[in-house]
Amino acid sequence: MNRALWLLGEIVLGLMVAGALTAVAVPVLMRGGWEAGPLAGGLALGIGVVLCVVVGERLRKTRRRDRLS
Amino acid sequence: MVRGLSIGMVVSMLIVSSGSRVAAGPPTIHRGADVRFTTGGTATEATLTAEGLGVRVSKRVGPETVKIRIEVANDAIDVDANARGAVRLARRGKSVSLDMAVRDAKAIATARRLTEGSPALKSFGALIATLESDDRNAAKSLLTSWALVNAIRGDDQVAMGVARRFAAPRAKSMTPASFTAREETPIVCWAEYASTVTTYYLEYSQCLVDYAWIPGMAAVCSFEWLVKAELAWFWVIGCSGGVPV
Repeated sequence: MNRALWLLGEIVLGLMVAGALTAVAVPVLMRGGWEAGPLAGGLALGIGVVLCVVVGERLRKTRRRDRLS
Repeated sequence: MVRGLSIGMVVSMLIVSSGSRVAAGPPTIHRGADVRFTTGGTATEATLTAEGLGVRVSKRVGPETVKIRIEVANDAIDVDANARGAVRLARRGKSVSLDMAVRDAKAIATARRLTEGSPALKSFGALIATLESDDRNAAKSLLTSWALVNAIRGDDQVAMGVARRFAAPRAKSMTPASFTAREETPIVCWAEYASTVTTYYLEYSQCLVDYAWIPGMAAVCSFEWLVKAELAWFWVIGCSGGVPV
């Protein structure tokens, strides 16, 4: 698959993962007495995108290696 | 991999920052804010004064009567009405009385002649135009006065338009996915997002308690929560104009 398309998929998935992460983290933190600010959203966004790109790249390389072997 | 990661971060920033370019623009001015309202009164009578665009509209509302005075520098119109439908319109020392229940054509024609070319009425019309998107009660009160004045002059269209406007439900049926004008600050957007996702989380918990005993319903609850949470997430990104910080 085209590498750029794969990367785009990783980023979009990262955005969605960040959304799910925040949707769980914010109510849990609020219940625990912590007020999650907008910075937490930025942090979740960074974590989600980085996580998905790292995992996606590893997966892509594993797939390519398996296909070549 | 590091290269891929860095490209990914750059593309990510481009995607999420595109909203901020769209959001940059002049702030919207609420035209109704040009009108200054003053309220007051006693236990038996409420008063409202609106000033703007060179016109002053004062209204005194009692249990059975309403008195409206529309005045500009060189003109003034007085309207006295009561709950039984009797109305008296006065301008420049002349007056006409009419019964709104009967709507005598002759009296209406007199009222029309009396207010023909009135600068006070024209200024009142301009004032009303500025209050088009104003939902304050004071603005609504002025709208009804405008409708009454026009009904006295035989123009029922204004009154019907006001009635339609009051009856129309507010157009707020969905959460906007993006903003065309930047109206909120990130902190306000985030506060709304936090309260929204907390509500969704509680709804999700309740859904699990209520319906998880049905086979497959736990998955349905999770799917519903995920879709709503993602919509709220993309909303907060759009609201903040990019990265939600």
